[in-house]
Amino acid sequence: MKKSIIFLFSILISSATFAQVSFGFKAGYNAANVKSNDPDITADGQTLSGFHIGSVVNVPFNKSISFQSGLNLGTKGVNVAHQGHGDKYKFTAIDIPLNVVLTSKKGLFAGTGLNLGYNLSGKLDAHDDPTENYDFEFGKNKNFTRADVGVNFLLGYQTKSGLFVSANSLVSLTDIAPSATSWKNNVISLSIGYTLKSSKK
Amino acid sequence: MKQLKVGIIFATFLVLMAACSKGVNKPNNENEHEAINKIELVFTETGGGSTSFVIEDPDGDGGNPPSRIDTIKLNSNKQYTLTVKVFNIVSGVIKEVSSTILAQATSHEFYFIPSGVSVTIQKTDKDKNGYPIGFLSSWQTAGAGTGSILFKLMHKTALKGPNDGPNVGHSDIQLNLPITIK
Repeated sequence: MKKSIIFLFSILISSATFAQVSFGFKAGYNAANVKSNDPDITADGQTLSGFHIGSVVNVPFNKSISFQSGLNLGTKGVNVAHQGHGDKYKFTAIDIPLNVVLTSKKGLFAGTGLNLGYNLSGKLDAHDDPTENYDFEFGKNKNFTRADVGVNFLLGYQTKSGLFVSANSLVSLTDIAPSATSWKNNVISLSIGYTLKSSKK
Repeated sequence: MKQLKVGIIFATFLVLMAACSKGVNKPNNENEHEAINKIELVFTETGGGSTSFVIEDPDGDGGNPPSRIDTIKLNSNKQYTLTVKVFNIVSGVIKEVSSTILAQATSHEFYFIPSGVSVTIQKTDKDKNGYPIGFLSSWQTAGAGTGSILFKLMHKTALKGPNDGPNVGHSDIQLNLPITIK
């Protein structure tokens, strides 16, 4: 994995010297859910609404193919029914997408690639009694682990002015629950953003 | 033309956001157990008889204090097996919900935390993952004394591990039970 990441960054750096690197920023809505074998979640797990903000770095290989990365801060988790209300299992995470993106002449784009995630914090928000909110412990023999690798599937549209909208489905490949329960964070993100005009290197 | 494109982008974004938000605040509640408002603790002394102690809390966990809490009375230097039974009472109809909780044992665990009395407690039943539940436990009393037992049933969806502390998850039951060992 480490070798792959170093390889991808080598491509990024070497390409950057030849290509028009563009930078941007985005923000939007996260619809998070969890794939788990826990019966509470399979029966009563619902979308957890959240947000994300982030940056975008686009390194074109040619006119239609580019490598796209960035740094995003956002929410993940699930909303679980409990005695008439929803208990929120909520993570705040940073994500680094490593996507290969195809862009059409009309501005439509689609991409896919690995996602390197890291859970900064997490908590159970017990809606009926805030005194029982519980901060997750992270570690090998704790509630969850921090590292979370997944796959991105990206679709979007960008105007010539740089404004873009995109939808991204992040499917986790990592079971972050060290216990017998499985837990994979999945997120659909709807973003709106702006790419600053490219500067020729 | 450019303004129209920007307008379409914003409108599409807002529509998608609204579509994704649907149903967020209306969970199914399909895997939920009934509220627990009566508890029976059945202590069986090794080589002796059984004694039951009852707690009734009509509005369940939180809210008003229980309407009935029996003082647990045990003999010193004795071994007991405790069996916990939990019930839901609605309009005078009593339904034991122990089997429902047991079916969800991978996300539930009882805790018994003594204070002021000398008693060693060990949960003896396990869920399908091999983690403790607490419907059954062994109690070894020492000398005489008076104190309390913090009795908790923790609901810990996806959080249950083999050696959790008593604050993992959130409580379905949390009561301080008076105890006298004579």
